Amino acid sequence: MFRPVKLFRITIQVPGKYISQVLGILGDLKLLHLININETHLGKLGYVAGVPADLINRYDKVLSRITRLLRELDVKAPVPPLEKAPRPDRDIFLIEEQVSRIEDKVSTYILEGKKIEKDLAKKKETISRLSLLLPADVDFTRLSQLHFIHYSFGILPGENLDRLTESLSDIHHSLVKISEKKDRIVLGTFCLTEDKQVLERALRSAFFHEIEIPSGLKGKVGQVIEEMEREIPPLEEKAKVIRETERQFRQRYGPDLLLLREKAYVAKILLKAQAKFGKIDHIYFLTGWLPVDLFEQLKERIIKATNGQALVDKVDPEDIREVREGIIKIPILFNNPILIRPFEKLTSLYGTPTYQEVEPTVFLALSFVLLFGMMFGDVGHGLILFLAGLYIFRRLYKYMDYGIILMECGVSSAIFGILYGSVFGMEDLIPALWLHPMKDIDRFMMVSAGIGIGMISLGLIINLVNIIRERRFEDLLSASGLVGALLYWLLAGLAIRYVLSGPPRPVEITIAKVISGLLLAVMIVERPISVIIKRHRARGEKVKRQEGIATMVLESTIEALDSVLRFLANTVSFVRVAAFALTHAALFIGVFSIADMVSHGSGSGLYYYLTLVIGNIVIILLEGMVVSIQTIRLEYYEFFSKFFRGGGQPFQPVVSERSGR
Amino acid sequence: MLRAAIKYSYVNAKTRTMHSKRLRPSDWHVIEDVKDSQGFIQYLATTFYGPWISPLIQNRKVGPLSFETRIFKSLFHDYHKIHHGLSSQTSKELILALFSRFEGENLKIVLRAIFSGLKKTDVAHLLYPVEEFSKMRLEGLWTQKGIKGIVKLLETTPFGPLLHHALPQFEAQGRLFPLEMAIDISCYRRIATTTEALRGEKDRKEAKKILGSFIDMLNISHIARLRFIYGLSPEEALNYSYPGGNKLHLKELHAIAKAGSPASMLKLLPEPLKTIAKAWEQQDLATIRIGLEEWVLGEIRRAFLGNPFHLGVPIAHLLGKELEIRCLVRLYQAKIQKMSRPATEIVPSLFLKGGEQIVQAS
Repeated sequence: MFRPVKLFRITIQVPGKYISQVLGILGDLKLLHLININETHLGKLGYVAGVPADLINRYDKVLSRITRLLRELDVKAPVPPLEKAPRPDRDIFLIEEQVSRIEDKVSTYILEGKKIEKDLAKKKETISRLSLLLPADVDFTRLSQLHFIHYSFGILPGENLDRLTESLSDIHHSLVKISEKKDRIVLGTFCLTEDKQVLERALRSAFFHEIEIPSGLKGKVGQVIEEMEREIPPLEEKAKVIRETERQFRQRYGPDLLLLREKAYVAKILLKAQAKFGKIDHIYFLTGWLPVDLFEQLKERIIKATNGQALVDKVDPEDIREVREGIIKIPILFNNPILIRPFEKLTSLYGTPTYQEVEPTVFLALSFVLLFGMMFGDVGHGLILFLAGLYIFRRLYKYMDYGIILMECGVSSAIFGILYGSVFGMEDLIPALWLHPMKDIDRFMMVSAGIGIGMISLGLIINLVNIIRERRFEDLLSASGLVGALLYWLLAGLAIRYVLSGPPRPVEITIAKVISGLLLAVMIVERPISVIIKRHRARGEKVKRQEGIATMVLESTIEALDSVLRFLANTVSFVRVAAFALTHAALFIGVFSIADMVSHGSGSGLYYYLTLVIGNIVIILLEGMVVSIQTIRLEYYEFFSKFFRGGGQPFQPVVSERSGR
Repeated sequence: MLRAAIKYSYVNAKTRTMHSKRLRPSDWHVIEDVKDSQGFIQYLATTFYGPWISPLIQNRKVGPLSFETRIFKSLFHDYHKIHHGLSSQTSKELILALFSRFEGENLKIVLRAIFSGLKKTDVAHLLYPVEEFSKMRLEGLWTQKGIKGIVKLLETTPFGPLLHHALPQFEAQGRLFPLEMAIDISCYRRIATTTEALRGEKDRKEAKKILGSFIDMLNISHIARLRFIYGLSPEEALNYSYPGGNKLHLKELHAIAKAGSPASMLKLLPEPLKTIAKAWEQQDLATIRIGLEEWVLGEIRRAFLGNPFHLGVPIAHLLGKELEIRCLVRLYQAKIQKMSRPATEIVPSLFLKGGEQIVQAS
């Protein structure tokens, strides 16, 4: 929990004919972080495997067919988990065959459905177009008998009518206004057949949009529309039947298609991963990082799948020179229980810890929930946050992690609500088991500062552990190391002593002065001394212009004083926990006051409760957001800054749970 | 009069200041005489155009297009100042309508680019730098894959309604021409509408006079181009003409659209254009255009005489400066191409000689 998962660097050598089986196994395990062969000596010598382009192309094609089927059947179900990773070279045949089978069954219906929908839309469109001619009661039978007259119907921008009329002034014509709507005129245009081209040119340049009239129409426009409308219900009935069939297909084939798509995605990813493999003749080389626990299982499965023709080796990272020298970084695979895991995102947002550093997610999670609850303490609000989190957890798979965080914060808020005796801001429903923030401000602020001292101390301890793990012993004497920590604890001890049992005795103050003076002196001289030692060791070597000792002492003095001030500022910063808890309570007072005013003004009790509901919603949204931001701020700036160096490499498995989506 | 003086004294003073900084005949003579485009730019950098032109000297990136986009920036600066100085909302609307022609030009470039599958970077140098003044943002248009999407996106802009009407023609003809015409006509229709909407009688009269002359000029050369270069029919040329002319209304436009040659077209012009046009009868379309500009410049100069408190003064300045810039661009391109045509065939003589006597003659 406090350290990332222990990893081995593994190397697999496998004959080409078994590479697909090995890929399948790697896909199954989901926990191999591949190292790009180009980063190794083998890669630099040019022994890179490359990807099987033809096979990837086949997967691309089948994926596009599956996606089309899913879209046409309107399948919108969550992606099912794959129980077993595919074997890319073999499974392509199976996937293609299954997709073809589904296509055979489904395509006819889909095509027919599309045709019916198209016919239906066309019919409706024609009816809507012909309806424009209703005011003129156009008779298509009579129009069809015109042999020397050319005519057309359409829509013209109203402002173009004058210039259209003028442009046609040299020919015999008639423009019949059928109706007018906004800036458009529905127009019937007539001219002699011999002037047809002039009319068409003029209409075209006046942005006349001709209404297409299907050929062979007989009778008046009203009758034509009626006839067309009679044809619509049977078509709609057909469309309904097709839609029902499609629904059945969706139920029957939807899950299969989703599974096939997932298989194809994973297979493609595995094939693409081959770009990171090395190859000499027909032997493939794979190298990467694997959790120690999985090594035996991996080895056993690969040996079995390849009839003992593969070599699977492991190396402890400690035994790799490049790792020791920091040239190669070991990727970080977090290892936290389910309730802590969602907070890994917050840690990653700040940075990825290195393999040697303490993995701080558990501390972050616990302190986050504690601080949030303290600032947002209310049973009712906590319950609402919990329910909102539960909803997200159950319904919105993509945001599940945030759902868990919200639920945990909700529980914490509710617990602090019980301690504060607050239910939706009402402080008389349940007794406060600890204190009312608004009534016991001094005590609450001291507790907040105490929490601050605790968290900063924890940060300093973690930093000491990191220093020891990373063997940076010279840092122990620095302001951020043991000396700085001792100085902080000394000052914090004095402050606690003052709060608990009054001012310290003169002798205690004298001792504190002497010790803190010594510690400060160590912090100041630490850097110049270490530089002098280094220079002494490097005597004789040609070096560039060097910084003077006096300058270094001056810088160290400023740095030491700055560190002391930062300790103080960081601790005081935690008083915001009390401040925001008070804000939360003060907002309730505000909401109740407004509710009182509104109910007195309107004379109705309904408005009182309405104001309370709206006020609570506003508090939850506004204060919830502010408190979250403040908590993150405390975590990052006050806590993480004490120990977190970062710069690690995140673990990226070949196939992850969500790689397909 | 007193009200008009209060209303226009500020913008008038501002306009006249800007107007006084325009090029003088002595500048034109130097520009005309410089041997190459480098000298052209270097001299122009010493004039009011300096702040916009001098980066070209420093960067040594002297091409006709970067010159054109930069020099137009100075005009947009004037648009901004005049718009800011006007107090009446309807007057401001007219200035915006006039400015929309440049937005329309940019829009046409975007349409052409997307239609031809070009990227923003391919045509960025062609776009007028209108950002300082324009509220229209073209960025969203680049994300559209087709012309239909662009027209949909422009629905709420002043170009929207007519573009919507022109879309079926674009789809039927498979070329951008109807959409380009719709953009142009939208601009001039907007100018005509906003001119009619001006509240003051004097403002409306003066604006109509100047803008009407400007639109007459455009319509003559536009119809001539459509008829004799693009080979469109008279009815098409008429329907694509711009509304809002002063001397040329639908009847006159139809008459000149029916003319069989540029020379016969000029004979059909109404007075006083007919008298003025006699001098151009044997000329090509480009020279006729210069002659028309000459006539418009006369009308523009006239706006600065007499009672100065009306909207005609700022409009006259903007159109005059626009013509000046267009002449500079033409002259600059001639310098680049080392054309031997005399400057009088590129630039109206009103610019070259100073305009007083010509104003009187016209």
